[in-house]
Amino acid sequence: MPAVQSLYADELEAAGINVVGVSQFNTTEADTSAFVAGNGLSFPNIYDEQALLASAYGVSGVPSYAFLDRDGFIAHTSSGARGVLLIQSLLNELQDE
Amino acid sequence: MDAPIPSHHHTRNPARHSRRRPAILASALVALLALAVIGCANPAAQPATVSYESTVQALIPSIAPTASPDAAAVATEPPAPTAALQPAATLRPTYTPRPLPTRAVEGERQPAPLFQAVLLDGGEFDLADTLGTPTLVVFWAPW
Repeated sequence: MPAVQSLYADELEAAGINVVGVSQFNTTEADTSAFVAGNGLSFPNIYDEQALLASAYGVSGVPSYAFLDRDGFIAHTSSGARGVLLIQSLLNELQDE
Repeated sequence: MDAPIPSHHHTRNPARHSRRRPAILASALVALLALAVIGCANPAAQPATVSYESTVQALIPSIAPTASPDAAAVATEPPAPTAALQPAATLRPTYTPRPLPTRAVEGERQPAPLFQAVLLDGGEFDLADTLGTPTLVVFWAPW
Protein backbone atom coordinates (compact mmCIF):
# COMPACT_ATOMS: atom_id res chain seq x y z
CA MET A 1 0.00 0.00 0.00
CA PRO A 2 2.78 2.48 0.70
CA ALA A 3 4.00 1.76 -2.87
CA VAL A 4 0.56 2.54 -4.24
CA GLN A 5 0.44 5.69 -2.12
CA SER A 6 3.76 6.85 -3.57
CA LEU A 7 2.57 6.23 -7.10
CA TYR A 8 -0.68 7.98 -6.34
CA ALA A 9 0.98 11.04 -4.87
CA ASP A 10 3.78 11.18 -7.44
CA GLU A 11 2.00 10.29 -10.65
CA LEU A 12 -1.52 8.89 -10.64
CA GLU A 13 -3.28 11.86 -9.12
CA ALA A 14 -1.53 14.27 -11.45
CA ALA A 15 -2.33 12.03 -14.42
CA GLY A 16 -6.02 12.26 -13.52
CA ILE A 17 -6.36 8.60 -12.57
CA ASN A 18 -8.82 7.90 -9.79
CA VAL A 19 -7.68 5.48 -7.14
CA VAL A 20 -10.01 3.87 -4.64
CA GLY A 21 -8.85 1.40 -2.02
CA VAL A 22 -11.03 -1.38 -0.70
CA SER A 23 -10.04 -3.05 2.55
CA GLN A 24 -11.47 -6.42 3.51
CA PHE A 25 -10.58 -9.99 4.55
CA ASN A 26 -9.99 -10.66 8.23
CA THR A 27 -9.73 -7.08 9.30
CA THR A 28 -11.77 -4.39 11.01
CA GLU A 29 -12.72 -0.85 10.17
CA ALA A 30 -10.58 0.37 13.08
CA ASP A 31 -7.50 -1.47 11.81
CA THR A 32 -8.15 -0.19 8.32
CA SER A 33 -8.48 3.39 9.51
CA ALA A 34 -5.36 3.09 11.63
CA PHE A 35 -3.40 1.80 8.65
CA VAL A 36 -4.70 4.55 6.40
CA ALA A 37 -3.69 7.19 8.94
CA GLY A 38 -0.38 5.55 9.83
CA ASN A 39 0.70 5.27 6.21
CA GLY A 40 -0.75 8.56 5.08
CA LEU A 41 -2.92 7.02 2.37
CA SER A 42 -4.47 10.02 0.67
CA PHE A 43 -6.68 8.27 -1.85
CA PRO A 44 -10.24 7.38 -0.86
CA ASN A 45 -10.67 4.10 0.97
CA ILE A 46 -13.60 1.87 1.73
CA TYR A 47 -13.91 -0.74 4.43
CA ASP A 48 -15.84 -3.65 2.99
CA GLU A 49 -16.66 -5.89 5.91
CA GLN A 50 -18.41 -8.53 3.84
CA ALA A 51 -15.98 -8.38 0.91
CA LEU A 52 -18.91 -7.62 -1.37
CA LEU A 53 -16.74 -5.74 -3.80
CA ALA A 54 -13.98 -8.34 -3.80
CA SER A 55 -16.55 -10.93 -4.67
CA ALA A 56 -18.12 -8.73 -7.34
CA TYR A 57 -14.71 -8.31 -8.94
CA GLY A 58 -13.67 -11.92 -8.48
CA VAL A 59 -10.86 -10.98 -6.11
CA SER A 60 -9.74 -13.63 -3.64
CA GLY A 61 -6.51 -12.19 -2.30
CA VAL A 62 -4.69 -8.97 -1.58
CA PRO A 63 -3.22 -6.95 -3.01
CA SER A 64 -5.29 -7.10 -6.17
CA TYR A 65 -5.88 -4.42 -8.73
CA ALA A 66 -8.60 -3.72 -11.24
CA PHE A 67 -7.95 -0.97 -13.70
CA LEU A 68 -11.07 0.48 -15.30
CA ASP A 69 -10.87 2.46 -18.48
CA ARG A 70 -12.65 5.77 -18.83
CA ASP A 71 -15.79 4.01 -20.08
CA GLY A 72 -16.08 1.84 -16.97
CA PHE A 73 -14.83 -1.36 -18.52
CA ILE A 74 -12.22 -3.55 -16.92
CA ALA A 75 -9.06 -2.88 -18.87
CA HIS A 76 -6.59 -4.85 -16.75
CA THR A 77 -6.47 -6.85 -13.58
CA SER A 78 -3.47 -7.91 -11.58
CA SER A 79 -2.57 -9.21 -8.17
CA GLY A 80 0.41 -9.52 -5.91
CA ALA A 81 3.67 -7.69 -6.46
CA ARG A 82 2.97 -7.41 -10.18
CA GLY A 83 0.34 -4.82 -9.36
CA VAL A 84 2.85 -2.01 -9.17
CA LEU A 85 4.17 -3.01 -12.58
CA LEU A 86 0.61 -2.87 -13.83
CA ILE A 87 0.24 0.68 -12.57
CA GLN A 88 3.49 1.68 -14.24
CA SER A 89 2.48 0.16 -17.56
CA LEU A 90 -0.89 1.88 -17.34
CA LEU A 91 0.79 5.19 -16.83
CA ASN A 92 2.96 4.53 -19.86
CA GLU A 93 -0.10 3.61 -21.90
CA LEU A 94 -1.84 6.81 -20.92
CA GLN A 95 1.19 8.85 -21.77
CA ASP A 96 1.29 7.21 -25.19
CA GLU A 97 -2.33 8.12 -25.93
CA MET B 1 -35.81 -34.10 -57.10
CA ASP B 2 -34.41 -33.53 -53.66
CA ALA B 3 -34.91 -37.02 -52.38
CA PRO B 4 -32.12 -38.80 -54.24
CA ILE B 5 -29.47 -36.49 -52.96
CA PRO B 6 -29.80 -37.24 -49.24
CA SER B 7 -30.30 -40.93 -49.87
CA HIS B 8 -27.28 -40.92 -52.13
CA HIS B 9 -25.32 -39.38 -49.31
CA HIS B 10 -26.50 -42.06 -46.96
CA THR B 11 -25.61 -44.95 -49.16
CA ARG B 12 -22.35 -43.54 -50.35
CA ASN B 13 -21.05 -42.92 -46.89
CA PRO B 14 -22.76 -44.86 -44.10
CA ALA B 15 -20.26 -43.55 -41.58
CA ARG B 16 -21.60 -40.10 -42.23
CA HIS B 17 -24.80 -40.96 -40.38
CA SER B 18 -23.03 -41.79 -37.14
CA ARG B 19 -20.71 -38.86 -37.55
CA ARG B 20 -23.58 -36.47 -37.88
CA ARG B 21 -24.89 -37.07 -34.42
CA PRO B 22 -21.97 -35.45 -32.61
CA ALA B 23 -22.19 -32.64 -35.12
CA ILE B 24 -25.85 -32.08 -34.27
CA LEU B 25 -25.13 -32.28 -30.57
CA ALA B 26 -22.29 -29.83 -30.98
CA SER B 27 -24.41 -27.32 -32.85
CA ALA B 28 -27.13 -27.69 -30.22
CA LEU B 29 -24.52 -26.96 -27.56
CA VAL B 30 -23.31 -23.93 -29.44
CA ALA B 31 -26.88 -22.69 -29.71
CA LEU B 32 -27.43 -23.22 -25.98
CA LEU B 33 -24.20 -21.42 -25.18
CA ALA B 34 -25.19 -18.56 -27.42
CA LEU B 35 -28.53 -18.31 -25.65
CA ALA B 36 -26.80 -18.38 -22.29
CA VAL B 37 -24.41 -15.63 -23.36
CA ILE B 38 -27.29 -13.53 -24.65
CA GLY B 39 -29.15 -14.14 -21.41
CA CYS B 40 -26.15 -13.03 -19.40
CA ALA B 41 -25.28 -10.12 -21.60
CA ASN B 42 -28.67 -8.49 -21.67
CA PRO B 43 -29.08 -7.76 -17.96
CA ALA B 44 -25.48 -6.56 -17.88
CA ALA B 45 -25.98 -4.14 -20.74
CA GLN B 46 -29.42 -2.65 -20.48
CA PRO B 47 -31.03 -2.83 -17.04
CA ALA B 48 -27.87 -1.68 -15.31
CA THR B 49 -29.37 1.78 -15.19
CA VAL B 50 -32.54 0.50 -13.57
CA SER B 51 -30.81 -1.41 -10.80
CA TYR B 52 -28.41 1.46 -10.38
CA GLU B 53 -31.30 3.78 -9.65
CA SER B 54 -32.68 1.42 -7.05
CA THR B 55 -29.23 1.13 -5.49
CA VAL B 56 -29.04 4.89 -5.22
CA GLN B 57 -32.37 4.96 -3.44
CA ALA B 58 -31.41 2.09 -1.22
CA LEU B 59 -28.19 3.73 -0.18
CA ILE B 60 -29.60 7.08 0.80
CA PRO B 61 -30.82 6.01 4.25
CA SER B 62 -27.47 4.43 5.04
CA ILE B 63 -25.46 7.44 3.98
CA ALA B 64 -27.56 10.10 5.61
CA PRO B 65 -26.74 9.26 9.25
CA THR B 66 -23.01 9.44 8.61
CA ALA B 67 -23.18 12.80 6.84
CA SER B 68 -23.62 16.26 8.35
CA PRO B 69 -26.25 16.85 11.08
CA ASP B 70 -28.49 18.43 8.43
CA ALA B 71 -28.67 15.09 6.70
CA ALA B 72 -30.46 13.61 9.71
CA ALA B 73 -33.46 15.72 8.85
CA VAL B 74 -33.25 14.59 5.24
CA ALA B 75 -33.12 10.99 6.33
CA THR B 76 -36.59 11.22 7.80
CA GLU B 77 -37.98 12.57 4.56
CA PRO B 78 -37.54 9.72 2.08
CA PRO B 79 -40.71 7.73 1.50
CA ALA B 80 -41.38 5.03 4.06
CA PRO B 81 -41.24 2.05 1.64
CA THR B 82 -37.54 2.56 0.91
CA ALA B 83 -36.67 2.85 4.57
CA ALA B 84 -38.75 -0.19 5.42
CA LEU B 85 -37.06 -2.29 2.75
CA GLN B 86 -33.53 -1.32 3.66
CA PRO B 87 -32.50 -1.28 7.27
CA ALA B 88 -29.83 1.40 7.44
CA ALA B 89 -26.23 0.77 8.45
CA THR B 90 -26.07 -2.68 6.87
CA LEU B 91 -25.64 -1.28 3.38
CA ARG B 92 -22.05 -0.28 3.21
CA PRO B 93 -20.94 -0.78 0.61
CA THR B 94 -23.49 -1.69 -1.99
CA TYR B 95 -22.84 -2.52 -5.58
CA THR B 96 -24.91 -2.85 -8.66
CA PRO B 97 -24.81 -6.44 -9.82
CA ARG B 98 -23.20 -6.54 -13.23
CA PRO B 99 -22.00 -10.11 -12.95
CA LEU B 100 -18.73 -10.99 -14.56
CA PRO B 101 -19.02 -13.97 -16.87
CA THR B 102 -17.00 -16.90 -15.56
CA ARG B 103 -15.40 -17.19 -18.96
CA ALA B 104 -14.57 -13.94 -20.68
CA VAL B 105 -15.55 -13.79 -24.32
CA GLU B 106 -12.45 -13.14 -26.34
CA GLY B 107 -12.11 -9.57 -27.44
CA GLU B 108 -15.16 -8.49 -25.48
CA ARG B 109 -14.67 -5.84 -22.82
CA GLN B 110 -16.23 -6.59 -19.46
CA PRO B 111 -18.12 -3.79 -17.72
CA ALA B 112 -16.83 -3.20 -14.21
CA PRO B 113 -19.37 -3.89 -11.45
CA LEU B 114 -20.56 -0.47 -10.35
CA PHE B 115 -20.67 0.20 -6.64
CA GLN B 116 -21.33 2.86 -4.09
CA ALA B 117 -19.95 2.98 -0.61
CA VAL B 118 -19.36 5.14 2.39
CA LEU B 119 -15.68 6.03 2.61
CA LEU B 120 -13.66 5.67 5.79
CA ASP B 121 -13.72 9.44 6.15
CA GLY B 122 -17.52 9.43 5.98
CA GLY B 123 -17.76 10.70 2.41
CA GLU B 124 -19.61 8.96 -0.34
CA PHE B 125 -18.01 7.15 -3.20
CA ASP B 126 -19.88 6.27 -6.36
CA LEU B 127 -17.92 4.47 -9.04
CA ALA B 128 -20.35 5.82 -11.63
CA ASP B 129 -18.98 9.31 -10.86
CA THR B 130 -15.56 8.21 -12.10
CA LEU B 131 -16.78 7.38 -15.58
CA GLY B 132 -14.90 9.53 -18.04
CA THR B 133 -11.58 9.05 -16.30
CA PRO B 134 -9.54 5.89 -15.72
CA THR B 135 -9.87 4.38 -12.27
CA LEU B 136 -7.71 1.98 -10.33
CA VAL B 137 -9.51 -0.14 -7.74
CA VAL B 138 -7.03 -1.48 -5.21
CA PHE B 139 -8.06 -4.36 -2.98
CA TRP B 140 -5.91 -4.49 0.08
CA ALA B 141 -5.90 -5.37 3.76
CA PRO B 142 -4.02 -3.75 6.63
CA TRP B 143 -1.95 -6.81 7.47
